[in-house]
Amino acid sequence: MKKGGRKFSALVVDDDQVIRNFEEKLLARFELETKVVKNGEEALKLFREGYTFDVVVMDMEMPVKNGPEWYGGTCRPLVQATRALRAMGVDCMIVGVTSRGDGPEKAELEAAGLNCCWEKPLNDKIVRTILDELAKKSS
Amino acid sequence: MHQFFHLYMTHATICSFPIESRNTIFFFYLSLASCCFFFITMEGNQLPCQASYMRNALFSQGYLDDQFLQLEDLQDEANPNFVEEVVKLFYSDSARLIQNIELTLENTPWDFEKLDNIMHQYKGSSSSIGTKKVQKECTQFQEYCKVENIDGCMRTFQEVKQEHASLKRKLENYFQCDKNKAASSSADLLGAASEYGKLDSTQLFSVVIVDPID
Repeated sequence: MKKGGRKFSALVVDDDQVIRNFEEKLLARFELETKVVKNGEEALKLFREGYTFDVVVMDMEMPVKNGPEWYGGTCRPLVQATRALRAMGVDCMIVGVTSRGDGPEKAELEAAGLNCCWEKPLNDKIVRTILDELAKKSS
Repeated sequence: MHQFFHLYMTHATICSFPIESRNTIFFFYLSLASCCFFFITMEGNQLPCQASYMRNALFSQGYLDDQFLQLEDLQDEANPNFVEEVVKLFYSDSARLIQNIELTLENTPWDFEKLDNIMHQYKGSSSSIGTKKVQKECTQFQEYCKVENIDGCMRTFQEVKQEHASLKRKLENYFQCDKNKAASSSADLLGAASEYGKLDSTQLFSVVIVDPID
């Protein structure tokens, strides 16, 4: 899908290489120009460098770095990453993917500025829904 | 291709024989060639069914779910081995997670939160390639972690490893079979068959008849 002649762009943020490979290919199949990073810190770095994206697809159970935080509350770093992105003025769609289903973490993430959550793994139906939302926003 | 070469050499040899014996020899080799042609086409037809059978069995026996279809949809001419590459990456990456769980199970007191989190990461990764049975065991393991049942965790972890290894073997066999099908039922065999098919019995017989040795 294109927005005024330009393709939509996506940033995949996931610490798992298998998932990064798959999601990058899936989004590219739908003609999204996609970049991939391993964690929230790298995502913030890209935005500070001036990159912009139409949508950020983030894994909800991802650590910023190894350490006690990884074991103590898996969504906490993602809440922080989402809040930090919004605080920087990033107003693009931020979509979370999770394999934990509904839970208190989701509410916390939505309060932090996450647009919506989807059950892992990402698939073509979810991507089409994201593209519909992007098309509505750009029209 | 070697079958076609054999037939050609046989034909050239027949032309050098006396005319009286040619017909008998000719019809003998014609029947042999017909068998070869039948073998070529049948061989080419059997291999695709075998790879397809293996693939269908992986779904019908509950090893794979629809996510594997998503991977297959992403495979194209630009990325002809995408599915196999992603699967190989998963198995190489997940070995580390399996090892981490094993090490964590060896340390007491048992850290169930850590076990749950590592298994959760493994489950997420495996879900991206559509591992149905493996994911089921992962969920069971996480249930035992929640209630801190170490025996249940250890027992279920053995099941996870078993399903992990079993699917790995089956997928390796499937990819190998699929490659063999692509290699041997490719243009070479079909080309040889079509080349032979152009030389029908009328053409062979007329070449022999118009080339008397006397």
